[in-house]
Amino acid sequence: MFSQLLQQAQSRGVRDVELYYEEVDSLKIGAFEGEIETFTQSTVRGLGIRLLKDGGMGYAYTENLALAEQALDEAIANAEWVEAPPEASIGNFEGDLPPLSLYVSALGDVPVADKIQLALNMERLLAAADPRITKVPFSHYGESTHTVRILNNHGLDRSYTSNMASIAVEALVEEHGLHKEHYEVEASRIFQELNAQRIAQKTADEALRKLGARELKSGHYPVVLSDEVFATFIDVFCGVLSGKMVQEGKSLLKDRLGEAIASPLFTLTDDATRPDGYHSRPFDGEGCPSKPLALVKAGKLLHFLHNRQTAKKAGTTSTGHGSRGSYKGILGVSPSNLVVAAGSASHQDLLNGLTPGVLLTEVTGLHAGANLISGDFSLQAQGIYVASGKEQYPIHQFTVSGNFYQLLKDILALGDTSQFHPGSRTAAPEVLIKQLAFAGS
Amino acid sequence: MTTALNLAQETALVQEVLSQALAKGADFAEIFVEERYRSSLSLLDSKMKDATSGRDFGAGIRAFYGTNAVYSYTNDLSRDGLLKAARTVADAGSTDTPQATVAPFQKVEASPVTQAQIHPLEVPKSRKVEIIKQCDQYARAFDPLIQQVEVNLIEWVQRILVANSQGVLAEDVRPYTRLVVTAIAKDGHEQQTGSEGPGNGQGFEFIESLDLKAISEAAAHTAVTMLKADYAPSGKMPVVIDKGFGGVIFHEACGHLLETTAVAKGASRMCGKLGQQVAHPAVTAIDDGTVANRWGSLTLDDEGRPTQKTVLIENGILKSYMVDELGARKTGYAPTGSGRRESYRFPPTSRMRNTYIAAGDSSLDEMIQSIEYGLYAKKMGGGSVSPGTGDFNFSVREAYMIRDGRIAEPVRGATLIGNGMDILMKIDMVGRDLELAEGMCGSVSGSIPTTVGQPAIRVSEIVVGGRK
Repeated sequence: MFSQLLQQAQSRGVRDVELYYEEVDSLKIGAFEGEIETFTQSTVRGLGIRLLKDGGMGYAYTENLALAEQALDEAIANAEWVEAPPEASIGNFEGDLPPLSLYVSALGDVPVADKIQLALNMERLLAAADPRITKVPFSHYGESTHTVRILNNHGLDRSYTSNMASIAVEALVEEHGLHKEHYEVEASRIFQELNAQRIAQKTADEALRKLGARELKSGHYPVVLSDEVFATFIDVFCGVLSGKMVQEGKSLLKDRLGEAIASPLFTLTDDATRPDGYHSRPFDGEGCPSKPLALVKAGKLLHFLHNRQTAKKAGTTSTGHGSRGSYKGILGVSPSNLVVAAGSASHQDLLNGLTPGVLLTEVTGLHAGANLISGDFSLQAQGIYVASGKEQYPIHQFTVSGNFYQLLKDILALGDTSQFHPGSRTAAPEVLIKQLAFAGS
Repeated sequence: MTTALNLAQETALVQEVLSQALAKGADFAEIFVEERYRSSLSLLDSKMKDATSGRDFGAGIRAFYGTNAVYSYTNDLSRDGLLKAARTVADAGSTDTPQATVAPFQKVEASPVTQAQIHPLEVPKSRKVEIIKQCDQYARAFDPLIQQVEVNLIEWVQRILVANSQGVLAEDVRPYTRLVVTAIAKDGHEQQTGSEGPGNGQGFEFIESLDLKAISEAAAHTAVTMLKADYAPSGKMPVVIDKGFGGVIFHEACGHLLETTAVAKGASRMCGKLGQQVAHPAVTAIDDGTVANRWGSLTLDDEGRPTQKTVLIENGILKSYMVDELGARKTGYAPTGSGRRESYRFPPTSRMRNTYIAAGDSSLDEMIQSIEYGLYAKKMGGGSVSPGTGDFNFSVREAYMIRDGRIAEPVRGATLIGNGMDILMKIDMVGRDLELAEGMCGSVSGSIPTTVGQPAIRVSEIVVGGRK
C-alpha cells in the first residue's frame, strides 16, 4: 500500500515524498482501594505524509488509512502555500543502523493477571507502609508496543519496534494538618524487574520526608540540585541546543559554537544508541541512523542538534536528530538520550558546599515557569534546608529562580553517579550550584 | 469505512456493539466515535513556514462494572473492529450473563452552543495566509527591537457520536479556531517574548472578527516591555491579578480540586466541604459550558449530556463539584455535563469548561491604591496543581511593581505559588469587568480547550518567585 502511495505521489508531480507510519498497542491498568478501577486496552495507527512539490513543502496525516490518497492530495494542496527553503530535501541516508534491542517479546507473554496483581500489590504495600499515608490516588501498570516505519521515494524504507512497561504510584500523606504527596515511576522491558515493594517503599519514604516542612526565608543560596532535578532542567532547556531553534532566532546560543558556555566541569552528550536510555532509537524521524553526538565538552559548545534541512543550512550533515513527534507532526529537531558526565564529588562533598543552602529535591510548573527564549526560570520547588553540611529540615512553599545559561556557568561540583530515570531523557549527576534566587517567606 | 456521521444512521450496529460490551456482566456500556479535521498554518521569518492538515478517526468503547471502568479504543470502525473492541471490554467481566441491556435510543436534542458559520475548508488558503502575514507586519512594525515573529492559525472541527446502554444517542459538531501571535524582542545578549492567542468555538468568522493590529501589538508590547524590565521581587506580598487569563489562579488553586476526578477518590483537599466556607466571601466562582461560542463551551459533553452553568462557589461557600457519569456513580452527586476527553483515545472524566470568578464591585484602581508595596500581574502564563495537597503554581508573563498605591516599573516574569486552601481565603477584592481567556488544560483525560476568567482581583498575600 505504501509503495503504491509513493508512486501515486510521483505521478502527481511530487518531487520528494516521505511516509511516516506508526502503530501503537497499549495497555493500562489502575488499582484503587483493592480493586482494578481502570483498564484500558487499544491498538491504533496513523500515517503522516511529507512532500516537496514545485518548490513548496506540505504535510498531511490520516488515521483512516482508507483515505490515504485523500491525505496525499491535502499534502499537495498544503505545499502550494509554503515555499520550501532551498535546504529542504527528502532523501536516503547512508550508513548502518546501530545494533539496538528495543523489543522484548516476553513482555507480551506475561499473563494479564500478573500485571493486574502487580498494580494491586503496589497499592496494598504503599497504603500499609505508614499510618500517615492517607491515600494512594493511583497505582498504575502500563505497557506499550510501538512500531515506526519511514519510507521515501529515494529508496529509504526503515522500521523498528520497541516496547516498554512501567509502573507508577502516588501517596498522599498528612501530619499535623500538613498535606504532602509524592509519586514514583519505574520502567523496564523485563517484567520481572518491576518491583512493587521497592517502588512502594521509595514512594513512602520520599513522601514522609516532606512532612514537617517549614517555610524558607527569601534570599540567594548555594544549592545542590538532586540528580532528578538537574535532569529535569536539562530536559526542559535542551531545546536551546536545537539547530532549528538557533536558526529561528529562539536560542541565545546562536553564533556561539566553539565558545565556553558553561563551567569546564560540564560535559553533555546526546546518544540515541544507549541500551539503558529511555529514548533510544536506531534512526531518527527522517530515517537517519543514530550516532552519539558531543554537544558540550568541558564547558565548550561543540555542536548543535540537526536534521537534514537545518544541517544543510548550517553547512554540515544531519546529526540524526530529525523528529516528528508523531505522524501528525512537522519535522523538527529533538534530542534523544542526553548524558551529563558525572564528576567525582560524593553526596557529602556536595552538601558541604551548602553553608547554609538548599538541597533541591523537586521542581514543578516547568511548562509555564521556564522560558526557553530568555533562559529564565521561576519554579515551584521543594527541598531540604542544609546547614553545616547536614540536612536540617524539609522546606516548602518557595520558588527557585534564575537563568539556565548562568546556572551552567555556576556549576561548582558534580556528583559521581549519572544514570537514566524513566520520565526523563537525561542522565545527570547531583550538582552544586554557586547560587540561585529563592522566594519564600 | 464507517464514519461518525454514518454510525448515527446505523443504530442497529451501535446496539449490537453495546450489547457485546455488556455480554459479561457490565452494568453500563458506551461508545464514543470521533472524526476530526484539523488544519495548521504557521509563519516565521515573515514567510509561511508550515502547512499541515489531517484527520483523526476512531472509537472508544467503555463499560462500567460498578464503579470500575474498562476502556478500549481503535481506529478500526468496521463492524469487526468495533465488535473486537467491545469484546475487549466485555472480557473484563466475570459472569457469562449480561446484567443490563441496551435501552431504546432517544436522540439528545439541544440548541447549539458552539457552531461554525464558515467551516475552515470553505475559506481560501490565500485569505488565511493574508491574515497571518498582516499579523507579522503589525508586530514587527511595533518596535525595531522585535526581531522574530511567529504566527499560527489552528483550526479543527470535531464530529462526535455518543451512544450508551441507557438509551442516549447524541451527535455533536464542535468547531475550534485560534490565532496565536508570538513576538521575540532582542537586545544584545538578551531576548524576551510576548504572546496573544485568542480562540473561539466558532469557524473562520471568528478570525474575521478580530482586531489583528491590537492582538499583534499586544504580543510585541509584552516582549519589548519585559526586555527592559528588572527582575521581579521575591517573597510574600499583595498582588493584583488582571482580568482574563488571570483566572488561571482559580483554575489551578481550586478548579482541579473540584473535579470528581479527584474528589471521588478522596484525593482532593476539597473533599467533604460542600456547604463550608472555602473562599473569601468576595468570591463567587462558576464553571459554565453554555456560554455561546466560547472556546471552553460545549453543546453536549463527551458523554452526550447537555452542558450546564454550574455554580461552584457562592460568596465563598462551596456549592457544587464538577461531576461526570462515573463521578456521579461514585459520589452520588448529579452529573453536571462535565464529562470531557481529548479524543477517542481517552475515557472521559470530569473536567472544566469556562471557569471564572464572577464580577464583584471593586475597581482596578481601588485595588492598586490599596497596596503600598506589591505586584500588578497583567499577563499570565499557565500553571499546575496537585489536587491532593492543594499546592499550585502559575506564571506571570508581564508584571509591574505597585508602589505607594500606584503602578510603577515593569518587572520580569515570575511564578506565583501557594496552597489553594489558603489562597482562596485571600482573594479579598473582586473587580467589575469579567473577561474570559483561552487555553489548553491537560489532565488524565488528555488536553482539552478551556477558558479561564475573572475580573481583576486582589490577593492579599501570595509568594512571588522573583530574583530580587
